[in-house]
Amino acid sequence: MNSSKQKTPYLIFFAIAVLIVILFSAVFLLKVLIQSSSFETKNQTVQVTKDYHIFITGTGRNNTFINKIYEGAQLSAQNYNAAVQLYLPDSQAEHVSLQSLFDYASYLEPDGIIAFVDDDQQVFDIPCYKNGTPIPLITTGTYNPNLPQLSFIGINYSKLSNIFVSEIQATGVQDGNIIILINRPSINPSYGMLINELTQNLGQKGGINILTLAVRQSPTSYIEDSIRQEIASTGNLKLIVSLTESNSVLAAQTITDLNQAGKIKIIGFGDGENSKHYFNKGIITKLISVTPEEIGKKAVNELFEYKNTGYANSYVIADVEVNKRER
Amino acid sequence: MKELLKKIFHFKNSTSIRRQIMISILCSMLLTAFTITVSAKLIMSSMEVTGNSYKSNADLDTFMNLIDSTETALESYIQYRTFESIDKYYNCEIAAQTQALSFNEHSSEIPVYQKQYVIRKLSDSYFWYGDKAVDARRANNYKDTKYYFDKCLECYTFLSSEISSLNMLYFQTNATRYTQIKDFMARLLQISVLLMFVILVFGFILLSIQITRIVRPLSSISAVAHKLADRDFNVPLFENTSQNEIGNICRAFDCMIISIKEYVDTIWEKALKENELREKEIEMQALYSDARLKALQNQIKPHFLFNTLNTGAQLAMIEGADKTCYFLEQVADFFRYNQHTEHNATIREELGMLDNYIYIMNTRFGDRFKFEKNIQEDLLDTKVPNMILQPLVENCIKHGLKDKVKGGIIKICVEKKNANIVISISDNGCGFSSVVKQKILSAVEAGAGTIIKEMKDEEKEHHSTGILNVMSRLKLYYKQNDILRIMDNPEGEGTMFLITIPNV
Repeated sequence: MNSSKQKTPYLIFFAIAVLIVILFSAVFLLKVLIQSSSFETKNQTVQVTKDYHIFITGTGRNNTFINKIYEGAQLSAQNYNAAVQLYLPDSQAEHVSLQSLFDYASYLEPDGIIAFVDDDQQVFDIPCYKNGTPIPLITTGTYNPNLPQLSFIGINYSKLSNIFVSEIQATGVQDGNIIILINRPSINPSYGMLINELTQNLGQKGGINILTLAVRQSPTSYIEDSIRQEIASTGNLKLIVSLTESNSVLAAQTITDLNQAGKIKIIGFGDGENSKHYFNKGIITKLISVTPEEIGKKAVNELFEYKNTGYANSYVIADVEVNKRER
Repeated sequence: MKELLKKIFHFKNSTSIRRQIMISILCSMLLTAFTITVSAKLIMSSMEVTGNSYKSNADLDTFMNLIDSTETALESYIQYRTFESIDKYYNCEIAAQTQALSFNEHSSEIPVYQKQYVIRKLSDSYFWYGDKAVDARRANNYKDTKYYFDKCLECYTFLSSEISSLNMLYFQTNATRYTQIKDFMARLLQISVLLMFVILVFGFILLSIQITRIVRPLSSISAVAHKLADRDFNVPLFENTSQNEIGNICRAFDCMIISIKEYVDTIWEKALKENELREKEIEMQALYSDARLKALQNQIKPHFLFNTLNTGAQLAMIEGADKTCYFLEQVADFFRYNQHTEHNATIREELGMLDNYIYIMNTRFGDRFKFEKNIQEDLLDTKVPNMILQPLVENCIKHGLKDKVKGGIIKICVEKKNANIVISISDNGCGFSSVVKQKILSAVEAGAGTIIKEMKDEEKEHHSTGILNVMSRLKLYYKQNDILRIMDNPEGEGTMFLITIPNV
């Protein structure tokens, strides 16, 4: 009947229970506090402060190409602890001028600007800091001698023209008419050289007649209408060659409208979604694209070479690769 | 560790049940409070995080309002050049620039922080051009004013666009964060419920163990109490050495068990002794009753004599001896009355039997004495014990008048005095010894048997047996000691027996 002998197990059990509960609660509380605090500090902890700010911009018609440049620039910017900002109009509908983009860049005062310049863009005020110092500018696309650019990163058009020629020959077209869609007479000498080489090489073929069709916006009609009229009026048309992505899409749309898909072959240019769409449908026979990432890399490198040395190469040919897509 | 815990919780033998219960409840309360604190802390943290979710949007809206206010004020100043507008412009500019300092100072790969950096740079440019426009306006330089103001407006447009963009980014980020918090709260609720359940189980086990420890001795005590209630005193002692309430109860119970056992033993011994005494008393009473019965039987003639006398009377009648026959009939009647089984008789029956006795005595002793009666007739049917008059008359004849050869007188008087019936029997003989009279009275008070032992003398025994018998029976019948009194005859010499019967 002596009931006072069983205290030790009770004490041990009590101590263990209390310890388990406290430990469990403490661990749980700690875990929750860490997790809850992580909601606030998550982004801060992963924030990487950059020493330089590089601004990439361009007009909306070349968004895809500029995006590729941006990706390449990002890769190269990591070597310089620089942040790359891409600033593009959301679509062509915004009709943002290059001047407006440069103004924006002037307000932002980045350490450098990489701009894709179309051949029809006019710039009156160059991007400058508030003290009037020009912001280092690297351009690509179309060379504009009016811009105070440090460097122009260009495509190797000679190599590109050879690719085009060989691909045209590979289509097996031996006679008939070939239309080369070009933009309005370009101020870019490299672009003109590309066209000349194409016409010369293809013109040496006996049965082939080379026609160049300048694509320009008419004040009274859509571009598609003028192209459609030209193509429809051209007899024995075997092949259309486009040197820009937008023209490639226009050619594909026109061929489709004329119900000539498969009968008239198209060699297109570009890596955009629209051109890929028509290529996947078989309307565009071959799609040639370049790798603009290299342009981005070269541009960043030139920018920091200027910052470090005070000098930069005025004309840089990006060692681009020409890719060929074929179904 | 064990000693430390004992020191902390004072769980030793001297710990009272009250303290143990208090400590157990305290521990459970502490665990519960701890759990509630943890849950409250978690809820507060979650609420704080949730509350901060959209704070960034609100702050950005405030910043945008400040930018708008500066633009409005600047526009007003450029147009009207008022003091209020420039004052408002500078106030808003200071507030906006202060808030802009919270934005990221350096560019970043993170879109939100990069956007903050862009806004900070754009706001710097905005205020720079704005200040330039103000300065130009103060200098009334129209060309510069227009240039800087246009720049400022363009920058304002970009800034507004970027703020809207950042606001959207904030919103997306906050919405994502809110979703995370909601998921987290759901998990938190589940784990909190689990934690509460675990602590409840622990608390229940702790209390259960403690209650069991308290109740177990009480169950033993209850079992022992039931045994005691069933008069089963063969129970072991608790011998609990703990110094708590249960220990005190156990020791008190041990003392009670010991006391009860001792008390029961005492009562048992006393009962045995009383039983023994009662048995002895019963035995003595039986012996006494037996002796008394034998004495009475010796006094009363048996039926045999009565029947023999009747036979003799019939024989005398056949032989023509009428006087003998009458005598034998009187004797037979006398003995028949003696054989009367009833304890009660009337005075009339007693006097009839007395007449028979006097006739026999007169036949035997001739004219030695005379028998006189003075009877009140209305009292003859009064009930009295039987055989109370004859022994007294016999005593008068045998002892009072023993020395009288002639001239003896025996008087009997039955009368009513006050509320009593008084029967007196007197003689004119030699009187009654006061010593014998005193012994008879003492014997009657002490019991009839006593005088028998004391009176060794045969004569004395014979002298007083009848009187003692009558006195004892009257005492028993009327529950009074002084029914029969023996006194000197008030009419002269001799003795008088005075029987005073309550008129019931």
